[in-house]
Amino acid sequence: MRALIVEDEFLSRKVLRSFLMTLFEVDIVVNGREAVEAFKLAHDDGQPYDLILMDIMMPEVDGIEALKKIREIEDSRQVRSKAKVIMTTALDDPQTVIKTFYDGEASGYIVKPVGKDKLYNELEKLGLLNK
Amino acid sequence: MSEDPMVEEFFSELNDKYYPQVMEGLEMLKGSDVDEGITILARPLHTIKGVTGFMAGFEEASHFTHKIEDFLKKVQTNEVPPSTDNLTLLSRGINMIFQVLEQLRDGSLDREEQNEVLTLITNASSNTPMETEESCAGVDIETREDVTILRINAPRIHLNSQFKPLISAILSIEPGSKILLDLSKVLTFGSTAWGTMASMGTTFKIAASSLSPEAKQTIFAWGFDATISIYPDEDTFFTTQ
Repeated sequence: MRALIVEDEFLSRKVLRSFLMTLFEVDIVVNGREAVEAFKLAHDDGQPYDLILMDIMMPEVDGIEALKKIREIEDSRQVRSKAKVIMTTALDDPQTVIKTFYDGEASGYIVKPVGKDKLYNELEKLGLLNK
Repeated sequence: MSEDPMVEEFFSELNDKYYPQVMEGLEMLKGSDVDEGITILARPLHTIKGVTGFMAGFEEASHFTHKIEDFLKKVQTNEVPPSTDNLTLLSRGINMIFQVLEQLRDGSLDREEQNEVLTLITNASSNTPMETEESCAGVDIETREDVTILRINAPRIHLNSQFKPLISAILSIEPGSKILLDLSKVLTFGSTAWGTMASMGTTFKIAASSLSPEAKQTIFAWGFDATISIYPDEDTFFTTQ
């Protein structure tokens, strides 16, 4: 399985990668613009990501905007099984949480700091991990 | 009483945005535009599932909505046929999401009805169209006065496939109706089957008549007679109504 980590902080990238590397083939990008590019490339190669961990506050294109673009691409390509995207962010205000699920059809939402248990619970809920 | 800002914001969105969308989607399920109805329903349901999973005390609503969303997707992909029964069940499940949310907010959750819907969904999800057609032949439906009589023709009702036709027959009846199960041809009736009937007893007024000693022993042993009234025969049932 393939996973993409979208995160602008070095330490967070390192931690998330350590949690996922035994389960997924992991790619890492540092902002929303790169995330959309990586998503397109993976699809073009016929090896789409099974999981995307997406930060929200990032330079250039933020996580919510990137997720909307990813969903638009999926819709335009009539992708039946959409990527499972978990937002990993320090933001926990109601508007952001609701917008992420409604506008971005996020699959999950984890407020930082992201612990291994919290992440694995979400993966289990999404059927990406059998504990 | 002041609430968590997340709860306040969510219920505000629920009433202003999701509820009208869901109503529109449900109306379409009743008509000929089932696909469009499902598309409209998908987004508010997904949002309710996601956000309630994030709200302390509303996790149960998230789990319940998750199950309903799964069922919606199965109907959307035709894994579950979009039959009238299945669409009615889907509508009922969706309506119940709002009920569960209100109940959790009021602190008065009724799990019995939730479980009943989930049982029906599980059964509907494991049904194939062929099985339904075949197994419906095992139940004859009659109406006498204001009572629907379901005459069960199979001698043994234990396995899922054996009591599915009965569930399908019950689902075709208006909620709140009186139902009499005629078990005169049934030799044995398993506890799981009784349990399923009992779970539907909150929505329908279910009674059973002409039970074999074995079927009677099982229903009393499991205590399902608390929900399903037992009568020695059909005539006794009607004279006591």
